[in-house]
Amino acid sequence: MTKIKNAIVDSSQLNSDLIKSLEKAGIDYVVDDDVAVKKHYRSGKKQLVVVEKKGEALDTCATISDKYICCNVKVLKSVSNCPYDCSYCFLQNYLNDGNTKVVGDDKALIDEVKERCLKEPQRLFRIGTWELGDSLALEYETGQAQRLINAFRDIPNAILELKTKSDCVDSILACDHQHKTVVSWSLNAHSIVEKQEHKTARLAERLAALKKVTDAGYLVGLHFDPMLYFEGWESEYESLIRDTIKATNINQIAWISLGSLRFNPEMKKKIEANFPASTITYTEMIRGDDGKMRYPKPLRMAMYRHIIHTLQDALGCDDLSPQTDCNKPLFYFCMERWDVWQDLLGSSPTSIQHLDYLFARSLQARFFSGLESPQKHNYGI
Amino acid sequence: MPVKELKFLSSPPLFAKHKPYHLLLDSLGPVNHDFGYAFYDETETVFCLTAHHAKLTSFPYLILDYNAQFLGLDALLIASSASSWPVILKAQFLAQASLDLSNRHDVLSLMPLLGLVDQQSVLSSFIKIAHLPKHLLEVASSKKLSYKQACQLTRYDDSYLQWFQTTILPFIDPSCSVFLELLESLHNCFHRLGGIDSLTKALALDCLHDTTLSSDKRLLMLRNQVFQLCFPTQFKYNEHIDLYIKSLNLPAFISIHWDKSLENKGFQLSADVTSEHDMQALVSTLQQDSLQGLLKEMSYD
Repeated sequence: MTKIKNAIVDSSQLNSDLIKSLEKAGIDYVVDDDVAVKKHYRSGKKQLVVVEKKGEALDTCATISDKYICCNVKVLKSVSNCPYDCSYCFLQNYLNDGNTKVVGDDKALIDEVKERCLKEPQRLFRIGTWELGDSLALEYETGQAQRLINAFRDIPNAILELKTKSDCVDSILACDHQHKTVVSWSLNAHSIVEKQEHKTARLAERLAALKKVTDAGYLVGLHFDPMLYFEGWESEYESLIRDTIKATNINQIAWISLGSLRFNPEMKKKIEANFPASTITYTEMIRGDDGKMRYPKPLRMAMYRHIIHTLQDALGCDDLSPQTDCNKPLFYFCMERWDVWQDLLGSSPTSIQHLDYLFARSLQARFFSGLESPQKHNYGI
Repeated sequence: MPVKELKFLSSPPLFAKHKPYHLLLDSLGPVNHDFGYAFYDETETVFCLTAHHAKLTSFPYLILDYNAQFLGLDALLIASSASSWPVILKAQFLAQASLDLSNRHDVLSLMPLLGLVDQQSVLSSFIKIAHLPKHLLEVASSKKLSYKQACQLTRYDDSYLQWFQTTILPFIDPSCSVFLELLESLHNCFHRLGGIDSLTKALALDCLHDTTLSSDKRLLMLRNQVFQLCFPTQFKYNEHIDLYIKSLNLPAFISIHWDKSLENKGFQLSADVTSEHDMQALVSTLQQDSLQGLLKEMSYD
């Protein structure tokens, strides 16, 4: 079922494959090269604006801070805004334009990716399309993911990550992905999905979709992020982990991330205004060294510890540190401190670049034995 | 708006429809200018725009043009240098004008004279500010809250603000930043605990009514309670670390500091060494296993 009612297309994009997808989906569109900015992030969620690629679309995930370890993933800004409406979503405080914009010119996006990857052929790039939107939520209307999957298949040193809260996977199941695409889910406890992740696929629907892509042979990623603190979090997150691992094949899990709720201080007011029924901003929080509000460290660590124990049990693996052997999904924290890694996993990456290297090492060892073993110096270590 | 002329007048009356506004302007204190402002209405009757206590038989008045559609409020704003008014007064003026003027666009037209942009959203924000509970508004005014700070107050639930204004505010005299901090922290607890009753039960508010305590002491006791309630994890672990450090029985010239937000693991040890004996005591302290144990205390197992 489409969430999009209609579309506006820039005249430069009329011959793009995306238009064919729009027509196939039965989405009416008009041509307009001067679409007015929408002030509120919600006001453009039901209309698609197909735009040309302007400037550089490939960037590094914008959450880099030297006090918190980032995974150094690259992001391809192919979409801006999202049909979903999660209470904690940073887009409500980030977007200057509430239009849901999709770049129509896939070829230009892919050319930029190829050019970047060619410049450093000795390193492996992980590239996601989820920075400013959901990678698959609009797949029915745009067909963009299918075209990206096909393109990434032929880029030797790049892996595409499609991260989603949707269950829109049917159209990608038949793609010849050759394991070069990781389909990943942002997953949360059942009551959080119900109360905070509005308009997204329900948890059972996401897990059913996870099973489908697993059966289609894709590598998968699991993001238990952002974890939220609420009464009963222990049992709900435990169920989530167990149900998720059951829905997939451990040998196809490329990576698993863990993170907790965090947001800029000014977003607190936005959340309270946009989601008056939500209570997520009233929990105890501190201001971290990156300026973001987050739960105090002892609370975060208690939550992580519980998840790690559950994951260890569900995966049948006592050691989740990415620094030890490679015979397991790569586990990492998203934007956590060195000492949290150290205290919970026994070791910490020495830098952002080091974690990037550990990803490459794990992926090469587990899935891409045909590629050369990654060398640390190629990752700036 | 140009000045039309200078006239010497004998105590012209205030324009009746301006009376609520002059009551608001009383909060600015007495006006002691060497001249006043006035305007003539359609019937050529002159009305004073500036209240003067002196009843002079002949006093110089600058006669201003005015817009009848705005009830002469445009002239009143100019005569009162409205752009320099405090935020709360601007809010109260706009709220009153919204009642008196039939057209919201007329109110918007007055906003530039208050030094404000004439946007609907800004007008709505100011009207919301004006509708805050009365005593809270008075305190906000006395603390000289900025527009942004005053807007923050409008985020809070009415029932919470009423409770804060009657249960907390009469018994303390906080600075502006502490006033805002208390409002925000207690509001978080209000939602976390599920309402006023639970919040009141969780706080021992007797200290606020203890007249033997100074206002500062009462405020300090309240802030400590609010911190403990609002930041239970930080309170618990900081207290734990504090107790551990006390158990080390460090010499008085050695002190230990740590990040109370608990984000940064580790501690800073400072020593004021003034003798060889101090030096030996410092070396001895550094060699204690129990001091190393402090880091383990910061692992939060």
